[in-house]
Amino acid sequence: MYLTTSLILAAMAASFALASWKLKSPELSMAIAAVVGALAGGLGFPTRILVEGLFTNLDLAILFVCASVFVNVYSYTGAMNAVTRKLVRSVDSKWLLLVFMAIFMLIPGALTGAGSVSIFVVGTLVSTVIRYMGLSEKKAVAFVFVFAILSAAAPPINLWTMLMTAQANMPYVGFTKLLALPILLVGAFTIVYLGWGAKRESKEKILAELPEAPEGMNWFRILCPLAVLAGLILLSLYLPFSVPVLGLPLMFVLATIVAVLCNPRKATIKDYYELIGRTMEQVFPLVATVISVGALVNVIAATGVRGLIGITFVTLPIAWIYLTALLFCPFAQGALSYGSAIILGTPLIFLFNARGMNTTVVAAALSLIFPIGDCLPPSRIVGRISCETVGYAGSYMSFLKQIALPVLLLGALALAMLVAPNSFSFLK
Amino acid sequence: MVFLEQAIHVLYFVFAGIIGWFLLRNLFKRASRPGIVYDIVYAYCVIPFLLRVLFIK
Amino acid sequence: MNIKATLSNPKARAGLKAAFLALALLLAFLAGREFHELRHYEETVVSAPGLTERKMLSDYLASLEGTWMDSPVFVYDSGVPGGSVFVMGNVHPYEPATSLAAYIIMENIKVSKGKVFVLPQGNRSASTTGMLANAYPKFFSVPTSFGAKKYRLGDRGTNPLDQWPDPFTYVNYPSRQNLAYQDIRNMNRTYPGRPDGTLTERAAYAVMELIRREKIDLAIDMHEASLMYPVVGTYVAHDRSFDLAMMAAMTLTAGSFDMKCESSPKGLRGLSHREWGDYSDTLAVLMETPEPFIDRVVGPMTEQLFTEGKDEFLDVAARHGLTYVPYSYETGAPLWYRCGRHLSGALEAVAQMGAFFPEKEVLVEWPGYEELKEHDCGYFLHDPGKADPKLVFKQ
Repeated sequence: MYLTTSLILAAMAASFALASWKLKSPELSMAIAAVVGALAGGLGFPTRILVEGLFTNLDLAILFVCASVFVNVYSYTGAMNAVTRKLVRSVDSKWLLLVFMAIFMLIPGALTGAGSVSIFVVGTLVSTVIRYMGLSEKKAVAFVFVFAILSAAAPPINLWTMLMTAQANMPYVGFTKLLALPILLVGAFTIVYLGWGAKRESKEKILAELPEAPEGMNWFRILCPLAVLAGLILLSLYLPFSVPVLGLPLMFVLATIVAVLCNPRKATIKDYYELIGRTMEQVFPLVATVISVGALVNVIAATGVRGLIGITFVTLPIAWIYLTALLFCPFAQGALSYGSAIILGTPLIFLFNARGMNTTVVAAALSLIFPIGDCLPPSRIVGRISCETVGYAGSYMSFLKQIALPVLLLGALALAMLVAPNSFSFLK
Repeated sequence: MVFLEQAIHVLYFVFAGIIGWFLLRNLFKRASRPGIVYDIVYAYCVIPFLLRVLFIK
Repeated sequence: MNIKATLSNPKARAGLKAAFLALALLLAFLAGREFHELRHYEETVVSAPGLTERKMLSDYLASLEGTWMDSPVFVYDSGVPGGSVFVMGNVHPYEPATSLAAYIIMENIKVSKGKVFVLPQGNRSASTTGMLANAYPKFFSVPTSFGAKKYRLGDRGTNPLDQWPDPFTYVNYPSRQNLAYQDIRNMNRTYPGRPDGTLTERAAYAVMELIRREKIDLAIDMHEASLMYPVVGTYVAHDRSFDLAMMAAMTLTAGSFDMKCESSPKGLRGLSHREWGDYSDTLAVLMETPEPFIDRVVGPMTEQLFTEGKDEFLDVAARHGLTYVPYSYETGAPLWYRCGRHLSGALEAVAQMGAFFPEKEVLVEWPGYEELKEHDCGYFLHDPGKADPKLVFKQ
């Protein structure tokens, strides 16, 4: 079975690489790799398995659309420009503004467990402000990406940990400090690393370049949609039995309606319809990526390739697990998204548990490693959203080089926790 | 509360329908990524939204 | 004709787009037919003659009526005063040896003292959809003397067609423990449930109400577990039922097969073995059998893997000491073995309740591990075509 599944994996990888090169579409390449995998695995053309896979990330696709519509409508009303002007006008220190921007980035993802939400909600604002603080486009996209993945890993909601603890019958308790401390360290390093040497442009020049805020755009109109969004998220988190389950997409839709109502400029329904149409075009590659990767994942499972990857990793000698964890886990995340926590994370927790190691620290360490894979193929979801939000025109490889150091620091800290979990148990 | 949950449930099918409609629209009329490759991607991305709206999957 | 010129012709291009769409619609139609088949396929069960009543979960919470979470509960009352037992299968329908075990109980049960309630489809909605990202087959078949009997292979959580959306994190009621978002559709994380909560929480509440109103003395929740999960091949018992479960485990291990026993963790909320015991007077026990099919390291997802449980990768994992029960490719973990474990596991728990609490004694018979080992599952299923129509149920 090792040989046959390895051959299927090779066929899928080769077809993905070839299709990516020829077609320049990672989405279609994933779909092609899925079909090739199915054919190589002797499944023929398994219509149900391929189509069922398209549903795997349907909720995520809907979230991306609703969040993008919110951000674009919010920007369309002029609120984004207004808040950027006000921030630039009132805060003088570059470092202080960078710290504010880092906190802005951390909050939405920490509350929802999704780094993409941070990018959608505040990514545009943050990238605009930090560009004016003198950070290059490349550094701006790195800032957005690193804080997005940190926000996803940050407490109170860390989905990787939640999935692993649920599978391992462990309570989701004792993770706050274990997750927060490495995140704060990496966050502080990222601010210094990316902000070092950046020269802030003069306030006057920035304000002259920034589009004027529309007349009538005041703090109330600026904050109201954001407050509604934050309020709904907090209500769901802290008063869950008093409100129905809204789901993040509906929260974004409600905040969008509030943004429309707060728009000081006149706009017709047709204007908004066109805006949504443009947003759909803008967000489509992401939607297509998460939908296509589902088909690939389903075929990976159907053919046994998933099992091959899982068994190969978990049966490595423990030293090799340490050596390859920073490779296997992030790439599994790139392919399987949160499924990586279940496929690789849970067996590792059991493995470390059998060796008398503190499983809470192990789960926390793994949940700091998985998010690194959000910039890796085939899906590279958060990496792509970061690039598109910032409008980064450089190559994806140059973006990867720019994020390498903070990401490696995060990986190194997590690896230290994985190697000596009992030494970190005082943080529980 | 049960009524509200049911209303929200229906609303999500409406969301799926709206998104499916825009994908269909953009398959035939769009400004960016005009190539045939993305015609194919748009076409198959409609499928999950369609089957969800039809209450099949 | 030049392809580039053809594609730059707007009409030809629109035609091509329409062709792609038509192809996509064809795929949607073909797959949709299969999804529809799984959603609407009805399993058949022929009840033993001792059936005294058929209730529905909506009898315990009216708002479930007409929903896909409403599910039949079959009551077998001996008429002789004694205790009462509740047996539930398919709370996680991707573990369907549990519903098959419940059906084998229903088709063969003889109660001579006390009452037995059987709920074969704990989460009926979840049994009508495939588990995403796992490429499970839609059905599995059990060979019988009257042909193959087909059963659904479902999901872990309620079908999104019935409960949608998920929150970004699920907060269990009333413990306020945060759980992964999709656990809001996982019935075995939603106990004790809420009468005005989500559909899954309401179903969980209805099960709690059944246990409370029917004064169930022993409540058994049947599950299957991956072999790399420490609680596999185990009774998980609430504090009050720990002693009887431990005795049952020791008896089974001495006589038939290895069975472990664990105490229900107090810090882990929403699970039957914890909340059934905390929110009612019942003796709550959960049972797990080894199901290789749901291990994440196994090879191709086939019906054969589900029914025979033979997998080379899992054999490698076992040799590395990564499984929590003995496993080898040669023996696998076939369906008869998993159903047999549940049937004998439940019988032994019932017997131990009678030993520990004579006033709650229930005298009941159904086939056990040894019988299934000898005859396999299909032997104990009856031909619906020849049965009394009043005892044939579809669900």
